[in-house]
Amino acid sequence: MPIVNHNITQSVQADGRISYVLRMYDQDGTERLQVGLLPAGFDTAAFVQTRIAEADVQLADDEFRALVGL
Amino acid sequence: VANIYVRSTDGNNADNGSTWALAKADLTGAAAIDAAGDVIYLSQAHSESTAGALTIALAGTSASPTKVIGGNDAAEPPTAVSTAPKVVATGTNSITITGGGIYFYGVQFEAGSGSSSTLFLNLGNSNSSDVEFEACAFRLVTTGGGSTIALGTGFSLFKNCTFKFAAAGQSADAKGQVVVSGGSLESGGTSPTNMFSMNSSAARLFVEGFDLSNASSGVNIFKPTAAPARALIRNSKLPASWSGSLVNGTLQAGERYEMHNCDATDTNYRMAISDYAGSAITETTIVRTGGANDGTTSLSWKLVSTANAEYPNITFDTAEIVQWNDTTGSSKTCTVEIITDNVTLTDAECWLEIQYLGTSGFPLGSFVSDSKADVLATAANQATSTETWTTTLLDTPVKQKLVATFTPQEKGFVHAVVRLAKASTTVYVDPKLTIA
Repeated sequence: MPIVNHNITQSVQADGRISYVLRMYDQDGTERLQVGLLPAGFDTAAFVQTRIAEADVQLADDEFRALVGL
Repeated sequence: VANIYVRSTDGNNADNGSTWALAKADLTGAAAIDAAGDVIYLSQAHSESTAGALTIALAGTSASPTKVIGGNDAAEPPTAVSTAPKVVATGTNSITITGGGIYFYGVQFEAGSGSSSTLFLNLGNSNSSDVEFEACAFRLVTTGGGSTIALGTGFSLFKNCTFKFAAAGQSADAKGQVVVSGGSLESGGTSPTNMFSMNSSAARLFVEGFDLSNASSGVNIFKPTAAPARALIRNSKLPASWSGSLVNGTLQAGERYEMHNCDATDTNYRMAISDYAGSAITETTIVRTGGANDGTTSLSWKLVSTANAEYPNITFDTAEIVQWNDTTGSSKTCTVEIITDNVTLTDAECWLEIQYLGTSGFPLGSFVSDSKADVLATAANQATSTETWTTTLLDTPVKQKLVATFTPQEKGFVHAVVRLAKASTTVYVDPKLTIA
């Protein structure tokens, strides 16, 4: 049940850090919200892809645990 | 109450452990004879290692704990502590420590070797345990990714302890009520993807004064596994250029994770909160003129609700804003300023809840809010505000204020919480409470 959709909004803070709101959605439409700060100049596109990949792994793991009753 | 001496260099489990000369060879030998309240001294020269599973079952109780203390064997009993004693289980073997009441000082624990699969460093593996580890080191040596340092299933305190991992998939797992006070992630290991994992619905984890600067910049502080676990970290040092998350996973109802005053740089206001209904982080651009600041930097709280938020009970709640009230017997008005981007909030979507001391003669809390009168009442817009905000990033700023009136009957702290019940909404809150 991987992430199938996402959106991100971002804004620069007074100290240059990036404030982001990342909403990811799986096949069921379940939302996974992440809100945080990134270092100034951070590659947010790469960050989003990393987060989606991590979420996919966790979702697969959760699905497996549910299937085997863990 | 007896003293039991343990020294691997010349000890023998056939001896009675009553002196250094008659020392036991290992902790298992001491645990075989200990009684509640006994003190087990590990020599600074002690270094035991086994290729088998190691279970140290101590007889201590909460009322009369067994104490295991690293001490210098120049005196009997030792007069100086030591953090050199080492207890090791190699291969695929776990270390498990059990007992109803346990105190350890200065012991280094290492579990696993090579790439052996899942194993555990089980610390206080008893639901009724009252466990404290002070100045101890916990190291997973195996590179097996599923291995964990299990932080007890009862109540466990880890005071100035260090943790070390050998694979990114490893973590320190909270199963019971756990306090980590001081300490650090040890250098030289592999940074975990998730530092602390919540592995039981009963898990409650409180972390303070913890140094994460040896972690990778992407480390996530908490990983949710079982709802409704809760965790909080405060006054801790994050790795340089930290880009990780407070909590890495989809949250379920009842879960809540908080971070207060943690950063990699010299700030003292960074916070983050996440739960099922939303998240909050510190905001330093969209701030109110004359609003909250730390003396240098103006700040607000950026609240972002999930699609789950819903009136009246699935709300994202801020941290408490607390202020001392010295007035009794007269009406006070409490105000918190907010701003959104083109969202006019009603009293069923965002409101202020105040707890004050409203009963004379007793410290009994009373509650008031500016939410709508009851769950069936018609909602109305919250009051508009004319306060000045920096609105650079907002297309259509909508300024409102949350106002609650109350009459305190006792001096004491006023506790204010802003609750957001409107789904998928962003609200900036000035956490400067005005009581007039």
